[in-house]
Amino acid sequence: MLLAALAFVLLATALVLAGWSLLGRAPLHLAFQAGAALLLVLMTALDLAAIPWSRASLAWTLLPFVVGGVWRGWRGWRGWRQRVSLGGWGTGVALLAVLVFAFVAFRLWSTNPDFLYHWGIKGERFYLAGGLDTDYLTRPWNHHAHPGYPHLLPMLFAATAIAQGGWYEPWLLLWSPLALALAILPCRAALACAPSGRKLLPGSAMVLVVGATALFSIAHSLAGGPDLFLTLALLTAAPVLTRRSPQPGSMDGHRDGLTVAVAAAFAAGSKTEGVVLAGLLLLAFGIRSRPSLGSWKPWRRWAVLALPVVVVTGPWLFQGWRLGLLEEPNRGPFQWAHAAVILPELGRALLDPHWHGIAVVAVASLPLLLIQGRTRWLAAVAGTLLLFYVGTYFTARVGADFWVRSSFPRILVHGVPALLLGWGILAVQVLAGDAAFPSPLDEVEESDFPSPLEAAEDSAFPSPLDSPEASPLPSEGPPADLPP
Amino acid sequence: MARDHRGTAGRALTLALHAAFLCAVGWVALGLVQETLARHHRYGEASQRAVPASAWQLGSPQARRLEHFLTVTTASIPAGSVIAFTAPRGQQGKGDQDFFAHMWAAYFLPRHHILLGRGPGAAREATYRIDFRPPNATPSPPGWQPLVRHPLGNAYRRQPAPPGP
Repeated sequence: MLLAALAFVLLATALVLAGWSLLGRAPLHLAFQAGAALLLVLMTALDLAAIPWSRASLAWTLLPFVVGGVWRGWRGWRGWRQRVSLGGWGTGVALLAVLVFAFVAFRLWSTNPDFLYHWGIKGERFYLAGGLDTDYLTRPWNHHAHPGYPHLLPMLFAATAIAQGGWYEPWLLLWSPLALALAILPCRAALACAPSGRKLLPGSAMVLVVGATALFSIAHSLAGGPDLFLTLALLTAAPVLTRRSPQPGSMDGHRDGLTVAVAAAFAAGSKTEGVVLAGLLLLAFGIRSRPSLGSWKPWRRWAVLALPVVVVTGPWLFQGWRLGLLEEPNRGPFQWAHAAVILPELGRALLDPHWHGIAVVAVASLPLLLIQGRTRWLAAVAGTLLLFYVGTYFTARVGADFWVRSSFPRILVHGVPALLLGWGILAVQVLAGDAAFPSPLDEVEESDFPSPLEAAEDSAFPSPLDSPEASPLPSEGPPADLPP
Repeated sequence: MARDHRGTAGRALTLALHAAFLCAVGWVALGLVQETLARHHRYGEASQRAVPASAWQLGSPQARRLEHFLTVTTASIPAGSVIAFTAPRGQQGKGDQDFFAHMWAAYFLPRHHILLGRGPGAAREATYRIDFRPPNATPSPPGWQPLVRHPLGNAYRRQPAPPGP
């Protein structure tokens, strides 16, 4: 038990350090996502090179990135310790809610059925095969295990099992609560604009977002599935999507771009729906940067930011295409006739008792969030994502009603927390006074909630101002530490 | 320090916002406690009675029983074998419960290839067959020879094809 715990902590730490090696002193949630996406790429590369996954091969492959992360994070670590803040009661209560979810997950009380039916079994097959088990994936009777889905989660399971030397479900299920715990950090960053001395409302908003997600995760058994990874990805992009666009070419603009690129890559590697989310995030970020769309270079920069998504999804799509795994047998042409069965089921899904009425209120608030400038882009991404899901149901060949019933309440969790966060941001905006709402970049120093540049306890990319190693960036073009 | 210069209406709005968010937090907290207790209760209750395979829980007695049965019956089956798994379709729930039982079997036997006994590939591809909880006194299915007999079911090996003329 102790060794399994140690291996889990070591792997999670290695992922964060690997993320730091790519991004510098990024916030923990961003570093974790970058590290997980990197793990996916490295394990895919090992598999393509016919090198079996083992403790040795994984350790040696990750080692340069871990060392790089320690090196790049060291200076930031000292700075972070000086600025560390537990962040008020909201963060504490939100963390408590996540701990309850982690406890329930660890006791196996809330295991996602799909952990049994496909995510878990694929992970175990990969673990035993020491690589992507194409023999399993290509067997025709395994189509119900969705062999064409992205492999980040099964690979994460396999890497955990390799590190632990065995297949221990309770630890594997903890990746879901960990994702939710990390989602606290971008929520804090997005709510960082509360006026100083006003802690109650942003704290309540934080608890509402994270607590409601934890509540639904327990009730609907999300432990062991990838749905909270998409929640984390969208919430990660929330601070970027809900604040004023920084000047093109500025350091803040580069940080925003990197944040969106990493969240998009993480989402795309986690789930098929994540590819859609990745596209929406990149599209929203690109459109928001429209003041600088007059020249060609910003588009080039945007294309560079899409590269991590391409790197993560490219091998998977190629392999899926080569092996014929991408076909979904229950997909056909769009049929409006399905509306008669889909719409009532959508209503029932929104009122699913596991949501305790939260989802229907959040979705009903979409129009309000869309007309508010502050929350427009966040609501647009979340709303379009949910709309895409609804549209997909219309392509069902058979059993559209069952499909909605069995999946829509669950995948609402990709967007509902972001909508709740939008509520919190709007409320804080009212509290601060509409017109005088400060940009997070100009935030008052004594705010209990740190500004996004300091938020999430460690939110400090190396800045040219505080890092003598970093050189000032040119006014255009990608930053020096942009991943290739 | 931001000051509220919007007068009574502004203060009322601020107060209403605080009240609404605190109520929402209370609602979420109550739900969290309720759902956690419900999961605990449901997990314990499901362990004590017969539930269909679609409602089994990881680590529950039903799942552990199947896992133990499979461990015993597949001890002599080489890794990588294709095994057809059958279970009663509607004994414990709806008609497709054998499908869910076969998914559990696939999870518990990751070194083998498990396919649904009534599926199209079973007759053609499987070299072994496992019947979980067959009706009492069921004879060996034609074309299969007994491999392991267990109180919870049986394992069979496909009979070699007779030599041709």
